[in-house]
Amino acid sequence: MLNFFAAGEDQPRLADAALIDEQFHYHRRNVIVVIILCYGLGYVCRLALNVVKKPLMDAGVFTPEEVGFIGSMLLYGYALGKFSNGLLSDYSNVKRFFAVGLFLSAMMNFGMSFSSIVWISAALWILNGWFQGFGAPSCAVALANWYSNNERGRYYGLWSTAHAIGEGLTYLGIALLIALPPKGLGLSWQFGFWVPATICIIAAVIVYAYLPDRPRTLGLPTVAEWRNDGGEKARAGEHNAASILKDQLKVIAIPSIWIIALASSSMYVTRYAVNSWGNVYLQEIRGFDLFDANFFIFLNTAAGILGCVAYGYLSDKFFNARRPPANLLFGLMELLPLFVIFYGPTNTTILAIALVVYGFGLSGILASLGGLFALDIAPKKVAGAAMGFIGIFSYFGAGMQDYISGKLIYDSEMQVVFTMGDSSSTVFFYDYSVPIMFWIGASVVSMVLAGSLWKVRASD
Amino acid sequence: MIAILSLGACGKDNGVDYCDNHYGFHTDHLDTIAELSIELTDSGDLDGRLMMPQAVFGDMAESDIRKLLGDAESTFVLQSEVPCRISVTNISSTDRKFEAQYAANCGTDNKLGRISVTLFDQLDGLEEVVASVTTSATSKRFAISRQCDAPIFRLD
Repeated sequence: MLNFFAAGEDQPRLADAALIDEQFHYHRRNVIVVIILCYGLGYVCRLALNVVKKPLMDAGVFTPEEVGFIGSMLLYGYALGKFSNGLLSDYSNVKRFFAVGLFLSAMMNFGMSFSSIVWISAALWILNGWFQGFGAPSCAVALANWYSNNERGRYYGLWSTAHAIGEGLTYLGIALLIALPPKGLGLSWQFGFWVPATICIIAAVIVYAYLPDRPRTLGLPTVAEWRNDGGEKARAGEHNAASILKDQLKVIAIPSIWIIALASSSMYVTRYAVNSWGNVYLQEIRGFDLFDANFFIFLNTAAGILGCVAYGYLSDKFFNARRPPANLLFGLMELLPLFVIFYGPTNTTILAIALVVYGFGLSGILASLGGLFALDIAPKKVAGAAMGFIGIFSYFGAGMQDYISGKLIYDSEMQVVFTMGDSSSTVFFYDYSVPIMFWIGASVVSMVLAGSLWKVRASD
Repeated sequence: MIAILSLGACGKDNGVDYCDNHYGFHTDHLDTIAELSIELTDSGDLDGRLMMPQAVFGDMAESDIRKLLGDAESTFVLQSEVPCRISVTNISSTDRKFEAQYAANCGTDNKLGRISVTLFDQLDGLEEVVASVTTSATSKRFAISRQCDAPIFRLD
């Protein structure tokens, strides 16, 4: 079983320079396209619950606290998965690792559509989180294997658009299925799990077919040697398990990595608060229907595509690969619109603009705090471990957020119940003022922590 | 994918359509619809207004109708951390309608967790209530119908 996932053996180096160039161009194109497309598609299986949250609450299947609890399970599972799978992915053939994760995640989504029991749903969703955790480390390792230091910022930025694509696809596409006519198809909430599951199976097939193993397993030199990237050539040694583990342990001895991890964790509180509860807030408090509410969240994630690319480009080109000034810039673009979204005028155009700016800033800062900043500092051979370390903090923060937000929302619940003999009809009312303070406060904490690393530079 | 989508696209019976697309049927039975508005403030005040068409009372005498509407605590059961009382403040009538107003103050630190409305239990002729409920955080307008399992939010 483990052999199935293991990275291939290094092959004798090809002698033909032209063939090497051709192979690199072919595989590098495949890598970036496959990791963006399939990581994005995989996100649909992660976010399905967010879209059907309100229908589940309105139907009385789960309370906000229960939905928050179930949602938090995915994030805990993902945190653990991202860390452990981060360690494993450094040794694995990432195409198999990633493809299996996507397939199993699809199975969990199918399972969720048949469960109305909290503990079963929670168990399925923590496993889904675990399987979702196969993706990011696989993609990070693929990036580290196929793109060298002085270009990685741009490609990392490109890959970071994947989550925005996946979020957009979920909040627009899945909402379209569930929303009532005439805006949507009016399908039952179960379709919010069935369709994502189908999409993830397709993504798994694409990954398995097109994502390559490490260059050395294909008879190619390392990418640093091929691109003559001096910063990395010194480290382009043998793929030795003992040395990898030693380097992996070094990651947790770097204080800056801990601060980035905490900053990322705080930013993930806000990120997942808006993504998990933002559409519910817009429906409950602002009175939008399911489709419009999810469309607003889609705007934030669509803007995130540009935010990721802009962050990588700006920090590489204008700040000489220094992340802290770019962090401040994008952090402010993330924080200030939150005040407009939650406390600003009720005008829908202003709300839409605020969500776009927020999404742009958030995706940029996440591209940095969620990994790029750490990748700069950590040894490149253990890119997966660095990502995993940041990931476990980030997703534990996000997981705690989901439960805490659900609890705070549930605490504010007021019911208007119309009794009719043995049956009754209930309408729920919630107050989001306390959760909103929690969400914005987390962004402030993240900015302060990220700002404390102003003088930190890349290890190169 | 198409097969999965088609599973949910099967025809719905009339009862489901009535509840899903209620706005199309709404004007057909206005004489059996009651209107209820409830406003809750941060200071713990509750202001309620109930407008009932005469038809829902059937053959009841006006004195009995006034007695029923005046029994605020039977019609609206408030569930809060510390019990609080609701009372009727005014009842008026025209040829075809009765209107009653209610008030309660549960206090600022006394969370109101539930308002149970028993109108359907008390009046067999009542088919539907259109309610507007406003809290300090949000406002919702919906209909409750005897024929539907869930509240109806698509009214317009």
